[in-house]
Amino acid sequence: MTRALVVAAAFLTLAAPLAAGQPMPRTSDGRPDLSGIWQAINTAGTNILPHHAEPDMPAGLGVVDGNEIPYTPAAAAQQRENYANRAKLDPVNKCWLPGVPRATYMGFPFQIVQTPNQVTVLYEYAHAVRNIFMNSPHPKGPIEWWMGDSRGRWEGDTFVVDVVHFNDQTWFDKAGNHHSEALHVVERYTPIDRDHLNYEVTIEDPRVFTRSWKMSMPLYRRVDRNMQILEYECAGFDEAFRDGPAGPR
Amino acid sequence: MTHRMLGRTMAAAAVAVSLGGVGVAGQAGRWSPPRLADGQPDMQGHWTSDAVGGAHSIEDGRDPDADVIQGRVGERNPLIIVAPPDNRIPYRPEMAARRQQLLRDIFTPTAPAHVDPHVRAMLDGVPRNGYVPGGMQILQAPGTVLILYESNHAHRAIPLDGRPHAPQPLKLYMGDSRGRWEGNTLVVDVTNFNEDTWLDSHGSIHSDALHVVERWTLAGPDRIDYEATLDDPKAFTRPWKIAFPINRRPQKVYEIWEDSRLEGERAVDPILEVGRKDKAAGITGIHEHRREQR
Repeated sequence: MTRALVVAAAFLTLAAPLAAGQPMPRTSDGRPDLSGIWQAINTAGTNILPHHAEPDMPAGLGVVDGNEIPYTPAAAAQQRENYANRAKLDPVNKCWLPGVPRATYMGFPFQIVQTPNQVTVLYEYAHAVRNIFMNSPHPKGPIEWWMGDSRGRWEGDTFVVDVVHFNDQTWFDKAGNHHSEALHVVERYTPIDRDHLNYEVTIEDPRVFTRSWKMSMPLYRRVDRNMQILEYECAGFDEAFRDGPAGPR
Repeated sequence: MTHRMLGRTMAAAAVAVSLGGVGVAGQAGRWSPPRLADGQPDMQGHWTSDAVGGAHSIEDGRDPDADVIQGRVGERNPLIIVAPPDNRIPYRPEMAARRQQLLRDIFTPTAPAHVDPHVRAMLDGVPRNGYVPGGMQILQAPGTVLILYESNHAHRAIPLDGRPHAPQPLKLYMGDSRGRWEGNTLVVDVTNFNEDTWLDSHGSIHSDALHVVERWTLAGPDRIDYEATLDDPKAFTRPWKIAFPINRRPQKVYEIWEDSRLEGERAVDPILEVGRKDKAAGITGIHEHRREQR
């Protein structure tokens, strides 16, 4: 047996149990290249907690560690009220920006474009966008943005994004799970293989939660031929619903 | 440096004399932009155009009433239409009639479709997003050019891999963009438009057969010469063309921050309320401006 074959055999033995797929490609600066179109495939957009089915909404196991959100009593009451009035109160029903992390798991694809100093995420839903600036501090607040202010860094092969400067208007899901403007989100995108990321989110908001909590889910690469981000311009749908046909064209 | 929209060639020639040929528009090879690892000319950075008069009227430029308020009467008012030479969109007769009706509807708006989509916080479309106020960032990754507009956080991811356009029945506000590099010029072919965007606030319209070919030419380290040809056999009798310069932002560090337009939109309902009252009172008219000299 030649030396090369021995090395190859050893490599196969070691690599096989780790992952079935190919490894994530790397950029010229040696980082995992997360560029591509991704999508969550779960029902967290309906409810991040375990939930049974409703009309047009499948049941789901939930994505929250421990299956519990540690609300303060007042915040828990607010969530129940949000849930009861969700058709009217959900900001997404007005086509407003969905916030973070909700934009990730609403069920729409999103495109990551990775450059060394800036990673940009384009969301199909309502042409939401996040510019994640690398290794730079958050601007001084107070600032209240729908999508927050995102600053990124690499911890080994994990892309870590620290997000602050939110408003208190966005929800985590259609079930009225909510936060205040003191929300602090840390997202961790870790490659599993070429076509899968593990997405883990730590949520902190001392005004609403008694402790920090986590959610996690896989993200899947959309490998469809000629896949591209399209448009979900719900502002236009809303006009049509509100005022009927626009008249002669 | 002044840049004339009309008499472009003469302006370019004058620049060539004064700068010794450095950074001259259309003189490919005289200036070599840096290249990215995948061979693309490096067009990255933050850019703005001074063609925002076109956002008011692509045919007439800035709003003369706003000029009075802003003390700009008599200032140069460059028009972005460079062909045909009369700066007029060559509408087909039925489209011209539809546009006249729209100008009447803009005078007394009674439905959202009578209000400028930009005011309604809808996507501006291509090419309008390039000349509304607010600049843009261009980011490049292997095989992709990204245009991130500041206004209304609109975005375009332009693939360079030669893939075909999306199937025709699919209609988009921003259209479907496919790019390729010709020397220092990024050529973007844009199709699959819906007919819901306007080209300016004056109800300049197009159909869903609109086909835009953009040419983004790196003319120097801090300037892009932008041209777009608009063809639409259902709306126009022949293709026509706009052109304007796009300049690099002078700031060393610049970040696009969130422009959440729809979330703060409070203008449309009052506009419609006034329009409906006027219409009910029998007030009608047409939206137009008289400008002494263009």
